[in-house]
Amino acid sequence: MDKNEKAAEKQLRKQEAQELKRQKKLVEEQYAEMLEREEARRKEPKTAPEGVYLSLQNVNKVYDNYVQAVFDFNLDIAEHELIVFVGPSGCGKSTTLRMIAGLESITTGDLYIDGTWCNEKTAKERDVAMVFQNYALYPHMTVYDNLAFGLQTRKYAKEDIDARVRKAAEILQITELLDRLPKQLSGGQMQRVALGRAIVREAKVYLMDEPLSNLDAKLRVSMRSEIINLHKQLNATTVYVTHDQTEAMTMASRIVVMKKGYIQQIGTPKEVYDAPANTFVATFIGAPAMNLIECEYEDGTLRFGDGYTLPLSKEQQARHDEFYRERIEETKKRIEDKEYEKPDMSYLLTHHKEKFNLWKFIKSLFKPSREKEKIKTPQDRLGELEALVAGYEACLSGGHKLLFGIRPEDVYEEGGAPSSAVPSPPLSLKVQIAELLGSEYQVHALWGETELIAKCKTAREIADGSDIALVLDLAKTHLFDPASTKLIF
Amino acid sequence: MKRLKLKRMTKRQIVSVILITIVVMIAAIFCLFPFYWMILNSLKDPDLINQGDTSLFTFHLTWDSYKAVFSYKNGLLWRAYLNSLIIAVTSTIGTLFTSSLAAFAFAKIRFKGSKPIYGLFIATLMIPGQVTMLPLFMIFAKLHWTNTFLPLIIPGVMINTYGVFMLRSFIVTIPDGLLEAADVDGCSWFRKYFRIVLPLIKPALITLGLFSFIGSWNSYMTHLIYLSDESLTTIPLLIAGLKEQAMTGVVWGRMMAATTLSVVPIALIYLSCKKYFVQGIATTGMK
Repeated sequence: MDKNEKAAEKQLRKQEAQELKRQKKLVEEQYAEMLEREEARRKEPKTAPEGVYLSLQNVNKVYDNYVQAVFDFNLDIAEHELIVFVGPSGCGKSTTLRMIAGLESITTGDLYIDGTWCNEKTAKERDVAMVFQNYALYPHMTVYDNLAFGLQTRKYAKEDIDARVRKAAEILQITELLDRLPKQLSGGQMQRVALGRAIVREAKVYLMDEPLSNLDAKLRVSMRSEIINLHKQLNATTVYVTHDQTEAMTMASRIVVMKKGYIQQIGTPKEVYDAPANTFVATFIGAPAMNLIECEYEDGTLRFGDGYTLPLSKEQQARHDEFYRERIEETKKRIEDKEYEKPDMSYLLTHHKEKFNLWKFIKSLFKPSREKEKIKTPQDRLGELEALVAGYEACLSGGHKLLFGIRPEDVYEEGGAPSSAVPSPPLSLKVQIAELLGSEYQVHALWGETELIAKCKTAREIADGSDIALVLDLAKTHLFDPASTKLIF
Repeated sequence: MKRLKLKRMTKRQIVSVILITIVVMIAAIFCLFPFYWMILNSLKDPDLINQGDTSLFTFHLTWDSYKAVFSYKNGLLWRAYLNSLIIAVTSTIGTLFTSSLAAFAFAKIRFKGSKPIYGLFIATLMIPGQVTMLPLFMIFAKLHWTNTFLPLIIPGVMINTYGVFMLRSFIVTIPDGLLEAADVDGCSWFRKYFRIVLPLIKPALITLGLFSFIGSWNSYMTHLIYLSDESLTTIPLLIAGLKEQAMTGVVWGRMMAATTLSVVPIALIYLSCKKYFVQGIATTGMK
């Protein structure tokens, strides 16, 4: 490296450090301002939304170290609903649940339970019941006392407590365990006790934080159906958190899919499955995940890497054009709103205030560390937004890349498609791996450069490396925009 | 059963087991010998001791020394027992209550400055007792608390840094989830403390209680400083008083008898709480 390069590098580093400092300051200021604004806002009189049992409005959670766990969470839950929050770990689902429970404060936004503004109410006053992931049974109390403890705290009459505990124990079939201590129980039994502790009380909302994740696979399935039955029996408003999409699909009256603190989609299991809002939801819900294959779109036709083409219908083409017009409008509005001048929000998540670490400090003296990601300046971000608009405009006028999505269960062996399906022209591929799952094969085949998974119900044997002709159900295909990852149709 | 186990071991393991057993036995002899010596001398003929008898075994045992202790100053021993017991029990109960409260706060309540305050608190462990002895005496003298039990009870109740330190490290291991469950169950901080935390730290409380009780029971210096009235005498003071009889020098037999008697209550308490005591030490990794 010659001298000039070194100097340029140094200059760049200096600029980056300055930009980082500026944005950090901005974030700190913004956080303080946000808290101030929120404090003033909380003093205003609150009116609960009508016809809604539990309502979260513009809820944000920012920790003191500026890490934001939940972004702008809006959700209305009707009475008797079973809502499931689902997403990978660290997506903010548990944090949101804990905010509803009152175990975590709400940084900004409003929480209403049964018509009451609950932001500043304690867990006790909110009258919620909760099932914890690790059960959290009191180890020094018998099962009976564990169930009765909450009732005793709330000063129920002794006979009433006894009746409720025995009834809950009966429902969960743990009557013979009432005299035991938690350490004398198996995992499944502890889970029942934890559930029992929640249902002895007629709480307004039942909250469940990954209650089945510590059980083995078989027990999980049976407990899952028991919880569904329990919900039908009690008909209580329930919020259930899980990272398991099967649990979400089977239990929920509505699913909330989350990722990195943002809601990705809210909908019934069927809606989420049939029309996933973006590629994340598409691949997260459903097992195996939806196949996403890159293709080229031009003049109403999709062209795949190996030369295979699929024409789109008139409605589909119209939807494609409409989608891009919407995106252009939306992005232009973001530019108009000067969104780029706000600090980089992704920065909030990744660059938190670190604790002082002497060893790191000493190391940094010898080897100046550099921010891993480049900090984006407002100009950078404006440029990005403008490029986005240009990209979308190009999509409207000419050929461009798209992501084609189809679920493995909508790919059939030629001749095997049901009459309700709209079969595509056959697609000949080479089988890489064929996994026999009892009644069906899970076929992994290479399409262009991407792996295509198909679930084939067939009587014949499919060998690894053999040729196979597959058809796609055109009624169930999806298209996604690669830039925004959003669903076109 | 044991033989079978031995057979399964390799030679090397057997040798190491034997070696370890020998070492432990030697250590045990070192620990137990003073007790043996104390009991033996309390039962020996006092005249024999005065003649310089140091035999390790003897069959001429008498209760003379014990009789002398019981009859000393019209049975002052019983008064001393009572006084020592009052001081030890009250200070122990007080210490357990305040230490566990403070430890709970430091371990589980998030408040601004909890860490620096705790650090400062722990730093006071470094100050030797001798340094604060005189200032404390002056304070208590001003309060007219000398010649009462208060100076022996109140400081330990007000602050027992070691106790807070020990209990905090125990409470920290209680999962937060339990306290959150208690929150949802509608518990106040005090109810959480009484119903969840205290029952769960029972082994640690018993260990600390024993330490505190033994410390108070054996404390000589502070008792000597603050108590001068004969009716307020405690066991350590009594033993010290027994030491000499005018012109005849140390009366070892009597002293040994009184010392043996002073150990009895502690030995009883220890034996009854041994299970928890070992559990407490094993789980805190402290002594």
